[in-house]
Amino acid sequence: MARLASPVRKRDRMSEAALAPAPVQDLPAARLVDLVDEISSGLDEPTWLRDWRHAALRRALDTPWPSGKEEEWRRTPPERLPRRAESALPPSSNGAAPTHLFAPRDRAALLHHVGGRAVNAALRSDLEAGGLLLAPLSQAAREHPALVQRWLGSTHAPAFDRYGALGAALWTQGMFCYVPAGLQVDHSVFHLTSQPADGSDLWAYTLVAAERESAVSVIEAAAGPADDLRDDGRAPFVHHTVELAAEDAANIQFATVQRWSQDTAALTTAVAAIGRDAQLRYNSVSIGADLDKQRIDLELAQPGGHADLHGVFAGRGHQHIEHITRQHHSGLNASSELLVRGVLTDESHAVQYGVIRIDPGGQKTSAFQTMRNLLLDAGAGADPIPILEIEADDVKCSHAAAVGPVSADQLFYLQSRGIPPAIAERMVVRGFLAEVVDEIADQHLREVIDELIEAQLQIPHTVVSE
Amino acid sequence: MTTTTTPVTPRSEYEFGFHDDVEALVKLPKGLSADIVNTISDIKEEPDWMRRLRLKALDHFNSRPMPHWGGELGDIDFNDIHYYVRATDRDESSWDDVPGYIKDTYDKLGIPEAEKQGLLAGVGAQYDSEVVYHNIREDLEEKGVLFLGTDQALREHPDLVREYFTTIIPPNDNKFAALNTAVWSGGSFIYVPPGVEVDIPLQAYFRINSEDMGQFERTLIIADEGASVHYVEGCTAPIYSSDSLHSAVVEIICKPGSNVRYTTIQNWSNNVYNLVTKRAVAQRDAVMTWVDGNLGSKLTMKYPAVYLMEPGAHGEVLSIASAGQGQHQDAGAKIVHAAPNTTSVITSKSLSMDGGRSTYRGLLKVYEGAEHCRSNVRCDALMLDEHSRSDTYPTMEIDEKQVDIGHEATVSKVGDEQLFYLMARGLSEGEATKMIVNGFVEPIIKSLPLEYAVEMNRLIELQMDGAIG
Repeated sequence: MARLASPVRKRDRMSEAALAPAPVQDLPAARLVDLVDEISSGLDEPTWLRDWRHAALRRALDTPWPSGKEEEWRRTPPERLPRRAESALPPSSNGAAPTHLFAPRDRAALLHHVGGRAVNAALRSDLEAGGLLLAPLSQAAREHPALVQRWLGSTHAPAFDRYGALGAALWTQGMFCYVPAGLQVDHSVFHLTSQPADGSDLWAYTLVAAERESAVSVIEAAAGPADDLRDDGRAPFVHHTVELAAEDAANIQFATVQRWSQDTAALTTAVAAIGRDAQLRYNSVSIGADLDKQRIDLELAQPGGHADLHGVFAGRGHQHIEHITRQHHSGLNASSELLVRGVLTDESHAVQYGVIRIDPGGQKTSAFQTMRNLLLDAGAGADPIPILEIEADDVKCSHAAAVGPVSADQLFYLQSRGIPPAIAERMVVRGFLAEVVDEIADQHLREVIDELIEAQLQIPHTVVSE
Repeated sequence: MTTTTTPVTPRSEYEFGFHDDVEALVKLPKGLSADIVNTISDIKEEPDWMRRLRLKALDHFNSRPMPHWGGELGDIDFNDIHYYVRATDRDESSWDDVPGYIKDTYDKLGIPEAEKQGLLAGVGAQYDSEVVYHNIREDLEEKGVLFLGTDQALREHPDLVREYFTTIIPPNDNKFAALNTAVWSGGSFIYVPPGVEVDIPLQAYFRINSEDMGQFERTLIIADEGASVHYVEGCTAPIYSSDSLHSAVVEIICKPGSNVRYTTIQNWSNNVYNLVTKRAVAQRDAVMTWVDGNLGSKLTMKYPAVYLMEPGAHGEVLSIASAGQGQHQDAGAKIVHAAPNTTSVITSKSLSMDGGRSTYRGLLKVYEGAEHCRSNVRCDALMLDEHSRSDTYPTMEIDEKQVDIGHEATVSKVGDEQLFYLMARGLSEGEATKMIVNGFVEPIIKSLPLEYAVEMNRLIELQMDGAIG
């Protein structure tokens, strides 16, 4: 009798994780302090904001980088996510605003950042008169200090971890959207980002505050070139902080779409605070980047709040796409729903690590998680990890996760009705993602996203590979 | 909405909390060192390879950090534990020869009765560190079935033991498997020859009797081609004032076409740390089933695993956990699909009551190339009051496209409508709750052997008596 072979260890992620993480490339602490001063004075910020940045920098320096062994980090290829704190003011002249991949046809307000610098800002006059604000964050801090001071850092995003703290200290691209009490904004507010063309790192900070009984749809769209930005092997790094604050009975629909350059490593740190009876929907569409890791926390601390977190992604090549989410219920009678749907081709890989956390005060919570991964190629893979941590008994919680190919039954059904295989596959993939894409409150943008996803996945892909 | 939030009352007295004043024949001093490991090996007169393996494992144990996940392990003092205690100096071949004081303990557990009724094919009873009594029906012995204490197997079938020992769970697998490998004592060894079907369950009972005692049994089961066997293990420990440690290792090899079912019901007293590593490999067309019941202990961390190594293998884990006051049941399952056309099912049911915490922690892994795998994971949790906690940590790592993988979990409380319906028909709230809980765990209970199903239902009711008015 032969000794048993040890289990196969192909593509074992534990040994991948043993790869050396990206080396720490922090500037020296004194240099970082100077850098914060340079950024803050370059953006002509008030003193209190510079002090706020310095406080965040001190926290960052007191917080170690993630070791890669934490549950939220151990599936992230460590060599592909830079551990560096480098930021620089963009050059002063960028010329006219270039056309943006996601440029809207219709909007209530628009702000466009190119390489970190605001180049275009427009606000419909009636909404401006109604008190709506959309401005670069530094400018808003000068012009409306009381408002920015009230909301900036009001969620725990700047305290998330070292990246979160650095995000608060080093941002050059800031966006502030403020909706006064009772204002219902009828069209979407757009914030466009063009990635720095020289492939330098970008630290972006988004702050959306909706006062009680207001409603707003905010769409953030970021684009880089369709291929690589750099040829020296250094991944352009993008860190995006998102703070969303919905006061009592406010309604925020937030959508973020990214098509960063193919060599970009993108990290999102997003926290949404949902007030009493407030509603929030967070749609995330992930197309570009080599590595896209989105950490999104929903904080439901007040009674009656509701939050939806709906993400889609389309992976190809060796892309690595992660959604690290938390639905944190500490308030009575609130509800939340996570839905992540993604399609993976080639050797792309997805991770969904989602936690529903219910504190003892979160009685009568309804919280759900669904993670669905459609694999179109043999090399693709997915790790859906839906987690429940529940300390209240009167709750409704469930989760479901699935991984699999395009259903042969569905393809057969469509073909039996005369639809060619290529179109049948397109219909199935489109239908699979539609639930999330169709929620984005702008038809033109939805069409652009559909086209990009089909191109990304090379649809029709490997039809009927049974 | 306060129908189930009755005041917390102390849990009823631990049913198996008797403890015999047994004078141990051999009781090594507390603490863990190479000397202790060597002494254990000396007492057992083991072959040299086993001694070296133990010492190597001790190094692994010392060099590995404590797990930082799972339950609270900080209170374990590894230097305050007796790693070896022996109450009798040989395995007895007949029940009549077993010393009276040990018999008394087992009589209270009801073992010989069960055997006399012919329900069980063989009984091995582990009293602290050594197996004291083993019997196997003669017809099975004639077919070549081996059912021995692992120490005895090492003496009588050293080549067979050496061939399989630590092949499924290597000494450096994890900190507690390393500890077990260093100081293991007792456990069951089962070998079922090709084609032999053991038609009634083989059983073993484990008890911890001494204070500050660690129990480190090592079980090894080999089902040869086409064989089938059902092994049942129950655990109880008397209550002692200081904490005890139970850290077992179970290795199972299911050769092609074999069928192994391993049923555990643990009802350790509430001061036992139960940190167990259980793993099986299933070869072509083999079927491996773990039935895992966790009712007792202070903290259990146990995730029975099935590695599906060849096409057609099937793995199944049925898990039930009930956490009451002061308890944390961190249990689950691990299934690895390493070959095409393999299938698996995980069904987990957990109850949290009286401030207890139940955790499902699982891994489902599909390697690239393991095409046409199917797996279904289902975890349900029932919370009986607002002081308790329920967690679900299911991890899935899927590296293959042509698979059908699904996972679902729910957490809920006892439904008010269900309670109302039953109470409208004249049941008290407590009776109605018990009935609903029985229905909730029924899919697991019905897969247990009859006498265990009865015991299990009784234990759950016993636990609920403290929690439900």
